[in-house]
Amino acid sequence: MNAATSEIAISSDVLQKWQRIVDLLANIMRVPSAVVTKLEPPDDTHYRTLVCSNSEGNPFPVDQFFAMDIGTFCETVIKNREPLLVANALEDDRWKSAPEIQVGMVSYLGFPVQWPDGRMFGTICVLDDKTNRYSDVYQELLLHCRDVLQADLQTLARLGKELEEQGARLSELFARVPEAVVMVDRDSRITRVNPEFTKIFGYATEEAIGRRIKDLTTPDDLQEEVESFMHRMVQTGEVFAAETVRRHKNGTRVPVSLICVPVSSKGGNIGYVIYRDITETKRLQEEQRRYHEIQLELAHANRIATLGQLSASIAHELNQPLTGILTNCATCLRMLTSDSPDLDGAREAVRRTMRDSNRASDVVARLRALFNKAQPASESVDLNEATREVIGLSLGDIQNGGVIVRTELADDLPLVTADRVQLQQVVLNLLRNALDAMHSVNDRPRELLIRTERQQGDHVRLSVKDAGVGFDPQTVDKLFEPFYSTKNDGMGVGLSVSRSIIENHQGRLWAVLNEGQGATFLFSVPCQTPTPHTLVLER
Amino acid sequence: MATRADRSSRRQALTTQPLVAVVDDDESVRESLPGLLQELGFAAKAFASADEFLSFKDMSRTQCLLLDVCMPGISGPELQQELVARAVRVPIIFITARTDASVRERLMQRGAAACLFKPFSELQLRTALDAALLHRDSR
Repeated sequence: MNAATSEIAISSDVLQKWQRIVDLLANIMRVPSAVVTKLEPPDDTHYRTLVCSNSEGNPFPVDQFFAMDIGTFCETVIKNREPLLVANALEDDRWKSAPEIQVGMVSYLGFPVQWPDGRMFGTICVLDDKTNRYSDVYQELLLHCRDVLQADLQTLARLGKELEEQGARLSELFARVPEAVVMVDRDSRITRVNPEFTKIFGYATEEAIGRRIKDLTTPDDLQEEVESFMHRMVQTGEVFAAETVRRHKNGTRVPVSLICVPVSSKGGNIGYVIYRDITETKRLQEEQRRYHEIQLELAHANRIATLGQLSASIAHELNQPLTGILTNCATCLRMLTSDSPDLDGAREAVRRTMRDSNRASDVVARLRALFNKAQPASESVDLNEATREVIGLSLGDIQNGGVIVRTELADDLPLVTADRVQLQQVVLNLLRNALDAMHSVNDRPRELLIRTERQQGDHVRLSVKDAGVGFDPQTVDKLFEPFYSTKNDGMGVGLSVSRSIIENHQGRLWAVLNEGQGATFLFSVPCQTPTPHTLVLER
Repeated sequence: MATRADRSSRRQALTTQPLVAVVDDDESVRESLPGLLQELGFAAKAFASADEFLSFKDMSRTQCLLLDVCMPGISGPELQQELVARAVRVPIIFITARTDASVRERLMQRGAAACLFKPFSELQLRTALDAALLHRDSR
């Protein structure tokens, strides 16, 4: 055992037990005083009375200190590590000047008390104001009580060691945990921090101790939040977590996820706050979001570029036979309207025209084949997330259009197996159409509602509801035809391409007029059905 | 309007009528243009490639060239260069299926008499031919 053992406090329940022992000793042995003394660390120059019997005539109060060089009975027991019996000091030359005589105590019986490691703890003794020879029974009784005391010390030492080890483990955890840990008191003052705290927030331990948590690491705009957190810790005693922002010593804002852990209020602390720096996580999330946005933008730009290229080559392919048709018709017209019509020549020109028309329709057929060839990618897509990205991408257009976008995205939306970018193209088309449809609206709010929901069966549905000009119900089917547009500058391919994308995903795209103003465009696609058995089989 | 007699006399008098050559890899164009050109009072001959035209014996008789821009092998503008190199002076009307205004500008800068976007009308063709023949006369 090391020196720390002597620092072990004698707990109050042990002191109470010892009090009963000395009271009983005084009572049974009919002496005025029974005492337990304790040698005082660290230099052992004094001992003091630790427990004193509440018996009549006991001259010793608790916590009376005695120097170890004045020749008291107990001093002798401690120094010699042996029991001592003095029947009457006044009649014994060796003890005539014992200090106890001055308070009327002339006889003494005492035993040394030791720690389990053999170091002296103190004494247990009885004193009398008259001659007392202390019979063998009494001596045995006192010895027995001494053994009880030593057994208690053994227990205390063992508990102390365990506590010490626990403390060491806790300190190690505190020092090594990769999260900033702060202990706060009732006043929300910091009582302890670990090294990670210094790493995340820049304050050394001595700079942090005693400061209020809201003054040290809380940005000005989040003071109320911290107060409510502290209040919640005290009031509910529940562990709770939050994601927020804190302030570094140098003033920069640090995104953190924090956990508040209230503890029972022994020692005045109300609990721990644990912080994790999520700067990197946030950065990665942002990077990923940007990456998706760029991907989506590229796909969109690609589609536009492809459309441009495609229409150029369609024009080229079709212009050749059209040239023939136009030229042949001009020739034919001339031949027929001449004074002497050349019927043979005209017939030949018409035949050439028919050949050219066939060539033109071959071009169209080849184009169809080309379009049908492309197979969509197949991946698991969170439609909510995909939709949020599209909205993010269109924020500029939304703000420019003075449009308020609301979303009602279902929490429990199952994943769909789809070509993510193609689906986003559809959402983007529907969103842009809705923005365009509200462009001329000035007499009501330009409101847009995007909603996702799980449908009965195995489908999910997305709807885009606008407050725009709506459409003519007579021509609703035409909306989805290629090159049909209600807009003067529209390309008119959006809805037709969108519908073909959705149909390629075994889904359906349609439109309805709203009860009030505007229209709602909706699509529904099959979703993945959870297959829990697969997991079991794979294990 | 030309009478039947006129037309047959024109066809017979191939040597006396101004010869317009059509160079285009597209069959529709080769089939249709000569017919209209004849109706307009020209002698006409179609070639499927620049090479075919370059090996045409009566090349020097050609009064005007209707020349496609994009062709496999030697392109329209390349043929134009080749003719300049051979000192064959013939006005060229480019015909193209690409509807890009900057293309016309470039071709005109390089000495084309006219540039037609396919498909073109009879009137556009006649206007271009008039300009081309005037172009030749003025040189």
